Amino acid sequence: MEETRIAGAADVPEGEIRALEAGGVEVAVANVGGELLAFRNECTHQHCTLDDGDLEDGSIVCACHGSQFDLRTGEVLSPPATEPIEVYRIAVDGDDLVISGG
Amino acid sequence: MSDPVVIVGAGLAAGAAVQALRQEGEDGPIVLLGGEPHPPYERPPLSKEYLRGEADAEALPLHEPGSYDEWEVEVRTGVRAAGLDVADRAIELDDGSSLRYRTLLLATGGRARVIGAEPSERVCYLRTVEDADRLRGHLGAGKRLVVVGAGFIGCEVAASARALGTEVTMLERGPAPLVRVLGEGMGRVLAEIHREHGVDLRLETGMGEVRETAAGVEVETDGGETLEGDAVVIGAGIIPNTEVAEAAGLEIENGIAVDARCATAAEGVFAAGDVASHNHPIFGRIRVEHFDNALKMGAHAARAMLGSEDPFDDPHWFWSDQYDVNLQMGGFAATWDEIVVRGSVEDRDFTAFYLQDGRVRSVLSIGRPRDVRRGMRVISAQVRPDPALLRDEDVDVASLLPE
Repeated sequence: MEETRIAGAADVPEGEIRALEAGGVEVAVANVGGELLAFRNECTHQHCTLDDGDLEDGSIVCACHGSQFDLRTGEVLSPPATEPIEVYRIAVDGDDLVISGG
Repeated sequence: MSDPVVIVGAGLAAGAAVQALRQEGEDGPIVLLGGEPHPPYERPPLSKEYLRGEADAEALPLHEPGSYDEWEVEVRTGVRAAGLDVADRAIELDDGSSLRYRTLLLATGGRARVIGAEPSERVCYLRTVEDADRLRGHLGAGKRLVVVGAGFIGCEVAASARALGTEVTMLERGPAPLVRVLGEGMGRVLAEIHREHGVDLRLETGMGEVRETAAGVEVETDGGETLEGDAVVIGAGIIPNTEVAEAAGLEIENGIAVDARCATAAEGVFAAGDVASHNHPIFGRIRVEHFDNALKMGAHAARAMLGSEDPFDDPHWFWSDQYDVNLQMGGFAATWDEIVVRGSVEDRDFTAFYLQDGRVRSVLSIGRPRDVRRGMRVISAQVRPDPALLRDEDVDVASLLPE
């Protein structure tokens, strides 16, 4: 996506996930051990939103059917999904998030 | 060159095992033998997205095309084991050939239990992609389907058939769908859901004679009624494919008996997935027929084949999608003393905890998957939470874990 600034969104608490919209795309931002990771908020299996899922060691487990994705690369770590999720570059600028790529 | 690691069966447990073997450092030859003409594929869509035509066959394989070549795994499909000699570490195949193994994983799965009528064009069972293809031809507006058995297969097929506009009559011998797993009270929630979606659900009704006619099928009920349909689908569970193991002298206990780490009593022989009767550290001896178990147990067996002594202690988990309902259950309970509910069963937004001796043994939810995942940790911890806290919506299930 185009570089998109989201004002005041940088305060995602550790271990939590926040759903955002960036450049017309539903994005989720997770705080994994202090590091923010951004990814498309839609499971490639049955289109469930991923921000309802659980964080496990830098991955997300989809709440609907248990598909697991690496949040740094988007790759599938556990089926039933077989297609990776899109992951984005993310930078913190003051209180704002700047999301790009994908 | 050393004898290969051989995996008999090419379902989900087998596929997961192959991947784990390579990831965990097995660098010798691996042979995967499958009776079906396909490499491992996902079966859950066969009663849901694939059956409804929303997902095509390309979406089914467990692994990307080319994965087995990349992993240097020899995949032989359309061949089944015919004999096993555990002393000689050799397998005889139904094409007359034989091969020796270094270690062996029996992941032979199960086959649909045939009751009342042999499978035919209009008498359907559902286990394989070909079964799903045949059944799909009988679904759609203006068609009538008789479903026998309101278990997972019956319920999911009924839901998919309704979504395609099929008239559905479903027979169930028990007092509600899925009673064995959910109990009667929770099963009644499923009964309501199916009836709201237009299924003619006949409870406490068994199947009598099944006749094929020129235009369809006639299914008699044990009450003497005759139901007409374009086809009947019979969901009567599976029979584990234990014959080769049994003939080889391996212990069979409702499946191929394995210890906590997925090993049989025979040197170098392991079993995983639907066929394995596993000595679970928490639940005792159980055989589980769910997707997630096949993947996790297959991968665990692979690690055991490489020497791990760890027990397979996954608390088990499955989902079922019916209409717009996503039902999930974690844990395992054949019996329970009490079911404690938080949320609203009426609104279909609830979590039910199944307790025995004060311990949570399984967790069912509609609409609250997070409770299930956290509840599974409570099950594994084997703590005895205060039922009042389980019932209280404001209490995070994870807070019931020991410090």
